[in-house]
Amino acid sequence: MSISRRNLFRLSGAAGAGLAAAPPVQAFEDFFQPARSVYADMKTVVSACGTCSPACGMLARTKDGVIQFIDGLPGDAHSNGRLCGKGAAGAGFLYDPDRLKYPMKRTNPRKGFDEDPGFVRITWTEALDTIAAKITHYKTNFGAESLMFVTLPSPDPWLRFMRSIGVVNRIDHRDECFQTDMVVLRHTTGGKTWCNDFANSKYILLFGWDILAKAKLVYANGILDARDNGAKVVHFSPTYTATSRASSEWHNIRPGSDLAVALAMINVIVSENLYNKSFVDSFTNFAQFETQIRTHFAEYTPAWAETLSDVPAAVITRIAREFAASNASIAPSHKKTLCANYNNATQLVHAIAILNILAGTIDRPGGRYFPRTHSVPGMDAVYPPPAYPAPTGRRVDGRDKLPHAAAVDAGIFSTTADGMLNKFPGMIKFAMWRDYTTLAFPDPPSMEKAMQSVEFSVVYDFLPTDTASLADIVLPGTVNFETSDIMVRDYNARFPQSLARSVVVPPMFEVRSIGFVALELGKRLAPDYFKASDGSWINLNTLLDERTRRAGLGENFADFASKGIVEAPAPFVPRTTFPTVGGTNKCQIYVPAFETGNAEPLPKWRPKRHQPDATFPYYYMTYIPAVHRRNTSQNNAVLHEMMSENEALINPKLAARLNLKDGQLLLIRSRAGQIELKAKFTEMIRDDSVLVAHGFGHRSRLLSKSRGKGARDGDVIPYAKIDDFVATRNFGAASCIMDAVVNLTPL
Amino acid sequence: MTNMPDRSALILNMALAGQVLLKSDPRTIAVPDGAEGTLADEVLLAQAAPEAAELEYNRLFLNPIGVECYLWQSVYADQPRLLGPAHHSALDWFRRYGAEPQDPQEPADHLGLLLLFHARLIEADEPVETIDAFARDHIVWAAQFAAKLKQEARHPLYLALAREIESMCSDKSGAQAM
Repeated sequence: MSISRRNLFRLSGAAGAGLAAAPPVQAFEDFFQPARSVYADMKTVVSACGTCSPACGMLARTKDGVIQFIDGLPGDAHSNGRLCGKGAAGAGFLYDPDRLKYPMKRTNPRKGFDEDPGFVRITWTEALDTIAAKITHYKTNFGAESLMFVTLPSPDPWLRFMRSIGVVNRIDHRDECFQTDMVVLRHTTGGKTWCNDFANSKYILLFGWDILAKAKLVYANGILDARDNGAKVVHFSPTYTATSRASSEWHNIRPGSDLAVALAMINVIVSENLYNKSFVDSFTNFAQFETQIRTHFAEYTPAWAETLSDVPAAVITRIAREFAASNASIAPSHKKTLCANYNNATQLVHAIAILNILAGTIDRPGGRYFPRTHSVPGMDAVYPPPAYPAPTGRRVDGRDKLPHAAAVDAGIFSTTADGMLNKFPGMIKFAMWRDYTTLAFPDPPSMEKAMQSVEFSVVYDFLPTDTASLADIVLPGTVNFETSDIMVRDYNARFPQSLARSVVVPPMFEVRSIGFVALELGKRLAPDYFKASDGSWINLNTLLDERTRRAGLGENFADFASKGIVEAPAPFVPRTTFPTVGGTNKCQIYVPAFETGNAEPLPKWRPKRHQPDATFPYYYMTYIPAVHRRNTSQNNAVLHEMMSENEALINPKLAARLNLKDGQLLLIRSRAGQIELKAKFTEMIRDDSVLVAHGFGHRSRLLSKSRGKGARDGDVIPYAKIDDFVATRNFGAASCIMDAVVNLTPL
Repeated sequence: MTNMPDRSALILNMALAGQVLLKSDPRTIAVPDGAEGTLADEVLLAQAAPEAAELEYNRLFLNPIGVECYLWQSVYADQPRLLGPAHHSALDWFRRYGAEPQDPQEPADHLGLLLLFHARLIEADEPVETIDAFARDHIVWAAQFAAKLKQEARHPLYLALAREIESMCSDKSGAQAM
């Protein structure tokens, strides 16, 4: 249809005559303005994926400020120029109709999932003024310990804000993730937890980690490259996964017994003197503690491990010998794995660290290495703050009983419900949640019960999570496409390759970044921490420019963004010093610092938290499916279409014993709670276990796609108690997510 | 125009409905001289007791754990999302007439904007083919919105709004069939 072009604005001359006799539609002028452009504005923007943490390079094509297509960034060495499926579906987060759009406040004082909060839209100013007033009120009357921040300690302005007001209780999910590795590695190798040179490995030993399906593309590429190069990949896992399929051999290990196998492998390598003598003699404290080490591991024989793990002693011995014989062996430990989530995970990651040290591949080709990155100054370097107040008060998670966890600023999800309900009831008066929901906790009903005793809570998120149902104020957050940052990228960092995360599209509605929230709350509550030396307010864009300039990435951020990636290729020069805590520049097998602090200097065998018994005879395990990111992606249109609900994965042999049919509803019950799910038969799991995907069972009514789909895996997992951690030497505060045992009843 | 007594009434009610969708506080809604009918009556009544209407607006359209009366046409497409093809199409229509939404951070396919624009097209005596084309592209879908609103609304203002939009869509569906 041909349509003549006219101007509908009454005051713009040409159209005026035509409108003179018509009744006025005044509101038109209130909501429209003269067009600034006629033709669609097409752009291509280089940025960084934000679906998970490696920040793969991304190329986004936009029209009129709307993403049309996103793809991997050609030439990006970090990600091989690709995006994974979750990354490619990233725009689904941005354009989710359910996303939070405006600041809102509750008008119904009664809290509960069955209550209508009566949210009404408010301005950012009212929201921030109210939050600031509440923080002041509770801090003044009940001390800083009454404030709980459920958030990671980043970005810098947000961390500065929390420090500036003396926050004591900041908790995050890392106890369910890589925290044990943080606790252990700073003492054993000094390295970072997620730098694995898989591509150059000859022997890759994986305990429980479904590294391919977990979809860190950086790792998946590395593993597949290694396989192409002839590397051997050995996988111990109670379930047969994508990683098992890509491995040279898979061993169906008993849940919670990885530690036994790792200890037995150390036994073989040490007793047979198979370790890399050159590395061990030069760069470790083996010689200093040789007697203790040899004595300690002598009892952990392969035959002993077989009785606990179901892995034959001969297999353990063979793999130990092969691992030691290869000159490029690696045993990683990482996120949401069995390593991180059994009660004995701290001992396990210590044992894994020892295996890597004995192999002599710390910061060597094919091993776990230190990332080579640009040095980007933080906010404190650019704008030095006044001295922060010393946090004073009680830790709701009981962290003070685990000094080694405290040393990495752990904030323990798994013990927080116990702290709020039993140890310190009523202590937390104010809670601020950022990008977390109660689904992330073991036993979410207990955490929700605990939250109902909190007098005032704030949720900052991009989606209306279940936790928002209990909030007094809801703040709409940005997603990665709407923000800028410097991504130093330390997953695949044999040389520095920083990437500019540029704004792909302007923030929608009234969403704001957490940096904005930090700055505005800081102005209200701790102004001295948010001023430059000349007394003006800190500007976040100026901060980004200055960090860019000082890191040598460009004259300012815009200059950096025009380049996209800044690389500094350099030969990989292995380290000869290792910045371990108390290790005098050497790797530590025996960790003297672990003699105290409810720890142990060498890893001892510790069983998982709960064992099957007559009442609860089966192991219960959870996993994050390949197409989802924890509990945040189930409402993403594309990812929801790929997997919309979870099921109870169960071996047909066990099903036969239970007289259970495929697809039949199954009641899974533990000492913590129960869920009902449809059974799905699979040969890929042991016949003494049941497996459930994490992230489902959302209840928030406005999560229009994911609400009510599937069940919450966490309802079956008991929350933890800090005193149990102390008693069992869980000194890294592993969350025990995988430790539950259950009974199963067909419905 | 099956359900409207005359062209002026249609324009006024369409523009009024657009305002009701765009403004949570009924006191900010300007009821044009000459506007008649249930919706105009309900706006005037709501202006006398604005708190209940404002609460209802938030509950229906903004509440993060509320109901699903989404205001944007793209959400009613086969593949629901924000800023979908309907947003681009609406923006194209607006620009052809020298206009753009005041707030670039809000999607252009907000039903309130679409109704205001449609009213202005009629007011400007655009050819009937043009007006019907716009309705086909951007008004007819609102029958789904109206049905949902009719089901969820508790306040008389929004029940009246649902009926008004339902009536407009019904009329436009007829036009489309022609």
